[in-house]
Amino acid sequence: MIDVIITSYNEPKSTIRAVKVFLKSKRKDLRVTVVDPFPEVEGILRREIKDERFVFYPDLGEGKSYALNLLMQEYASLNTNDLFILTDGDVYVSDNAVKEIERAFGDAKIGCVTGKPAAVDSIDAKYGYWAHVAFRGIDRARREFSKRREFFECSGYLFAIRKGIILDFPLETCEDSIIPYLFWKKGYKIKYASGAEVFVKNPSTWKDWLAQKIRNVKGHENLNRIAPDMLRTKSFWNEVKWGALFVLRQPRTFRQVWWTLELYVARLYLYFKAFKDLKSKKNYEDGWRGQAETKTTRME
Amino acid sequence: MIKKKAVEVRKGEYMVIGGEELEVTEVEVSDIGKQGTKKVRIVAKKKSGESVAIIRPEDYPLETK
Repeated sequence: MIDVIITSYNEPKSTIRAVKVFLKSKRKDLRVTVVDPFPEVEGILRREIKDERFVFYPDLGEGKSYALNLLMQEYASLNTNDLFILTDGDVYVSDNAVKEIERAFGDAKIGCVTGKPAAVDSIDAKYGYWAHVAFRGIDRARREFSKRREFFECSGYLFAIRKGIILDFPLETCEDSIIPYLFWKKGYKIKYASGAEVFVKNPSTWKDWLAQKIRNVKGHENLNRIAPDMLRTKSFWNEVKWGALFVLRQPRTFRQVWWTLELYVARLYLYFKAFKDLKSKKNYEDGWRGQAETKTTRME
Repeated sequence: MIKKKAVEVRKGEYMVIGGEELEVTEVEVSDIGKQGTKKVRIVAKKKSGESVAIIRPEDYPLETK
């Protein structure tokens, strides 16, 4: 059984697309559940999606991690060949994503499989270029960690886990980090399925870009408290180690060279601001991406 | 199997999650939260000794044995 859980936040148009890609598959052992805090979204989705494998689960308004915990328990199974695929309503996956993910689980030692985020933004605009460079860098790092069978964090846009291994995870941090960590602690490996793509619209304004990145950094910094022994892949120092030189090799035009310099300053500023907020106790709180008012990440 | 509201679950009872029996070791009821309902935090232990936290609104139906 494959349970796809799509967490969405009042973005019915893109959520419909996200659901329909999964339902293109005719397999009977697939269920696609959308969890969204807006009741009106259910009506819109049900008008467009008639497939009986589609389920709408009204979110109880406690945030994404809470909703995921609840569904992981509601849909739990003792069969470790059953899978959860976790993704968001504001992104959509490639047609082959489920097959690629399933193939990656062919090895019984693999507990988590992460997909490959791909930016849909134009590379000819600054924020689009930044997104393409970031995703290229992440792709490179994940390939390496996966090949070496070392621990790495998954992508919250698309990752999958075996059922029957964990039933809960802490709410106060990013699920794409803490869940792989819990599997790793139980002796499972993490695999990168680079053929399972997930298409993402990234922020296109400074305000949205900063809000999204600061939220990510804060969520990951909380891990120091919740899982102090966890090997960190998404951290300031790893970004310097893996990204500083890599980013310099990416520009192809003069404009991109300039954007690269701006990217350095922007990344430094965001870490400064995130750490300053953390010091002044403005901690990460579980919530929905849409609540952070990053309107430009919507595909509608 | 009996369905019980989360608030009615007691320490020492057994819950069933995904076909697995878990023994309830702690039950804590919160004050009314931002959604206007009380939340129940149940800690239950698997046979392996691993603890699982289950947080539900007070009237949420849970399977017990």
